Order: sequence, then C-alpha cells, then structure tokens
Amino acid sequence: MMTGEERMEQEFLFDLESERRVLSAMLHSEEACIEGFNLLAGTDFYSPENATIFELTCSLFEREIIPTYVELIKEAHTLGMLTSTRDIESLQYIVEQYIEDENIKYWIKKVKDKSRLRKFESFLRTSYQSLSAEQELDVEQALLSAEEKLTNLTALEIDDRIDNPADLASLGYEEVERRFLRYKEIMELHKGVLPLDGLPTGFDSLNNITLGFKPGDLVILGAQTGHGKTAYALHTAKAIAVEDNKGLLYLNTEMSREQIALRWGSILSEIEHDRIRSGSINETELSIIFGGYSKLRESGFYSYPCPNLTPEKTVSLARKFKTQKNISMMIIDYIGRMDKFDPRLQEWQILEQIIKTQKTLAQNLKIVVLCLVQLNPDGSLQGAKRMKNECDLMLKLRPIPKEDLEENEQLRNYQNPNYYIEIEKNRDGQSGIKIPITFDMRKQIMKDAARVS
Amino acid sequence: MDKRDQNIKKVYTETASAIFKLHSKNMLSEAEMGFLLNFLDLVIKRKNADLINIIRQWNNKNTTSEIDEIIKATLLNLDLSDSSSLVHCKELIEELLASCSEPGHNLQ
Repeated sequence: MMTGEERMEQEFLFDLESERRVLSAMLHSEEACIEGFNLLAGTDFYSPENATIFELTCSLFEREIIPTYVELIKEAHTLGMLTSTRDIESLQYIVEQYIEDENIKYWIKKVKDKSRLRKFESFLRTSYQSLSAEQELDVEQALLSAEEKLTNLTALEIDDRIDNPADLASLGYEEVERRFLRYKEIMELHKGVLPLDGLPTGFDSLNNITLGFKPGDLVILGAQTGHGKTAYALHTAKAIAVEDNKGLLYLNTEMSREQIALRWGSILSEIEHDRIRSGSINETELSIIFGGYSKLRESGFYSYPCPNLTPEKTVSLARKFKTQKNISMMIIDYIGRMDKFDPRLQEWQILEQIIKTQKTLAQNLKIVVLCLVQLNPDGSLQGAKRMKNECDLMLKLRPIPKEDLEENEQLRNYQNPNYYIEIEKNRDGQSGIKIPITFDMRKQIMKDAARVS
Repeated sequence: MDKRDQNIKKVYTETASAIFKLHSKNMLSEAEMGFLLNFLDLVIKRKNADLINIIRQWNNKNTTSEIDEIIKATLLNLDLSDSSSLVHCKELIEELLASCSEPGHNLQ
C-alpha cells in the first residue's frame, strides 16, 4: 500500500491532463500533429494508454492518414490494441476535449518536462540504491559516473552528440577511406570526372565546384526582381525532382497554382512561356507539353503556394514532408515575401532570424534548404554579411554586364552567355567564381553556357 | 469551435464508441463494424452525398428481408475509396429499391 507521502511524490512525476491535451490537439489539428510527432516520443508519456494512443496517431500521420477518432479505433483494432471498452472510453474522453493548436507547444513542454523529471527521479533512486548496496565504494568513480549521467540529463538534447577521441578517429578514418576509394573510382571509372557528393545543382560547372548540394546545407540565391529567381528555383527542382526523382518541397509566396503549373509546361517542353499562357500553340507542341507534364507526374516535386508563409510554417511543412514524402530539399521562393516574426524588428534582423531558422531546419532534418532572396538594384543584398555567415553556399544570379561581354576574353570561349552565377561563399570549396550561363527568359530555361568548340 | 461543431463532434465520438462497444459485445461483426466506422467518417466529412442519400432511402423504405440482406452484403463488400465501385453499388441499391415499389412486390 502506498503511503500518502509516496503518493504525493509520485504525482510530481506525471501530468496526465497535459498528456491528454497534447493527444487531443494532435487529433484535431495537423499543425499539432506535426509538432507532437517531431518533439515527443512514446516514452515521454507516463500513462501506457496515452503512449499507445500517441504511437497510433504517429503511425497514421506517417502514412498520411488523418488521425480521426474512427481511424484510431480501426488502427488499434487491427493491431489488437485498446481492446477493452474502458480503453475506448478514455480515448473518447481525449477526443472530446478541444485544444487550440496555438497552445500545443505549451502542453508538449509540460509533457516533456515531466518525462525529464521522471528520468531525474530514476537517476536519484538508482544512485541511492547503488550507494546503499556497495560496501567498498570508489567515491571518485561513483561521482564521475553520476556527473556523466546528470550531464546527459540536463545539458544534452536528443540530437546532441559528443564525440570521444575514439569516435572522432573512427569517423576520420571512415571519411578518408571513403574519399580515397571515391578518388580511385573517379580515376578508373569516371575518367577523372568528379561524381557528386550531394544533390545535382542543374549546372555541370556548379556541380564540379560544389560536388552538389549536401544534406544540411543552407543555400542562398539572390537575384533582382524579374531576373530569374523562380526560373532558377524550378530549374533546380527539375534537376532534383524530375531528373533525379528525389523528393522536393517548393514553397512559393507569390504565384498561384496555375502559374506554377504553366511555368513547368514551358520548362519541360522548352516552348515559350508566353505562347503557352496565351494558348497559341500547335497540336505537335501541345503533345510535347503533355509529354513534359507526364514527367512531372512521375517526379518527386511537391508544391505549396502560400502567400502567408511564416518561418514557423516552413518548419512545420518541412517536417511533415520529410516524414511523409522523405524530401531531400526544400525551396523557399522567396524570403522577402514571408510574414514577419515581429513587426517591430528591422528588416535585416528579420532576415537574419529567418535564415538562422532555415539553417537549423536543414541540419536537423538533414535536407538541403534553398532560400531565394531579392537583390537591391545595385546588386547588393540587405543583411548580406549575416546571411553569408549562416549559409553554406551563397550564389547571385546576375545579367552579365555589357562591358564584360565586350571585353572579357574568357567569355569569348562560350556561346551566348548572358547571366553569371556568382559564387559568393562556398563552405566546402572555391568561392569568388563567376559561372557563365545561358538563360532563355522566354522559355524559362537555364543551362551552362556551351563552350565554343 | 462553435456550439454546432461541438455537437457534431459529440455525436461523432458517441456513435463511433457505440459501434465499437456493439462489436465488443458480439452484436456487430468485424465487417459490419468496419463499414459503419467508415460510413460514419463519410457522413461527418460530408463526402459521397449520393451514397448517404441512397442509404437514407433504403432506411425509409419498406423492403423485404431478402432485399435487405442483398443490400447489406453489397455495402459490406464496398470499397469506399474506389469511385467506380461506389457508382456500381449505388446503381444496384437503386434498382433493388425500385423493384420494391413495383406492382407485385410482396410487403412483409
């Protein structure tokens, strides 16, 4: 029989109301579901019943099934869980509560805090038990071991990892060996052409310099208004989602679904965008365009036009699509049109916050995030220094100045170059390089400028 | 959430629980429970109004037990996610209900 004092102690260790509220919110709103799925684990719930409901909800969410009450009952029934009438009554009680999803983070924190508290309590209890059991205690060793456990409990989040010397040495060994074997392969199989380390960029010259966009990379591309931001984004999407068939989420703050679909028609058929828009095409062209859309149908391209995009929304969408579609990249077209964190902040402060959020997101989800930003008319970028600090690759897309076209000897080696992709920063390689490309604005097509034979 | 939505939610959860409880007491088979839960979702999400109407018509009509059994078997085998199967099912039930209204139909 538990004494009153023991019961009091136990009650400090859980908060069933918060657990029910989290579950209830997850069953009412997709946003809450994404938050819960990403921030909690079944083991964070004290009640085994609640942990089961959480696991079932997550399992449905992962399979893109909206976790309604009926779906939960069906899922539980299939798996032979929540079999008694009492189980169903507690589930019904949870479903009948309604929690605004804006409050979900508060309730998740409460559940998480109790979960950590239980771990702390378990640490104290087992430490005390081992103290009482040991006759000849090595005090130094006991304290060190306790300190390590406590540090893990307090300082480290789930994703944190501290490498000990052996870990780091093994990692270094593996990386060097991998690169050594890859170099051999390049020389023997690929005849000296470097294979990519990450996702294709859509340009051979940029692939050679960067070895592709790597998971965790934040890439920033700046261009002036009307100078190809969306064309660049969709060109990248074509290389990754259509030609390489990888999952990609495209967030557009300016264009409608129809506009995006029409752009694809032009990009994939290489027929002038204006003619497609006006419908002045012949039957052969129509069939070419339909052929292009067939490729899009089979691709990994997911589009989300969203005029009221916020940084929080990007996080939530990226998590959802990573879980459900295993995306390798997210493109935000474009940052300047996003709703602000706080209207009192200066423009550069807002941009800095957005960029920091995207970098953390890229690292946590191990995806590439490409942010498009607007250049000032003089080609400069507001908050450029801070953005540069955060990103792994900073590119600018600019028309080649007339005097360069006339005087630059190097450019004479290319056929019809009209734009530069300038590499302002490249964390893993060379920067300060200008890559000449050909941008056909009418067809919305970009490619490496062909060399004069 | 306004009062009306709250009421709808209440009816939804109560009905779903009642279906599950009837199954626990062996008063509904596995297939019957599955169909009724799926159908409840359709009603709440206001999807497939045609199917809902035809079931409503069936409910209001005086049919023979034989026809009831045929309609029930048809519904239990129905894949609600397959639109062609839905159309076929609806047509079949309509025919069966129409046959009940024809002269010579024996009322029970």
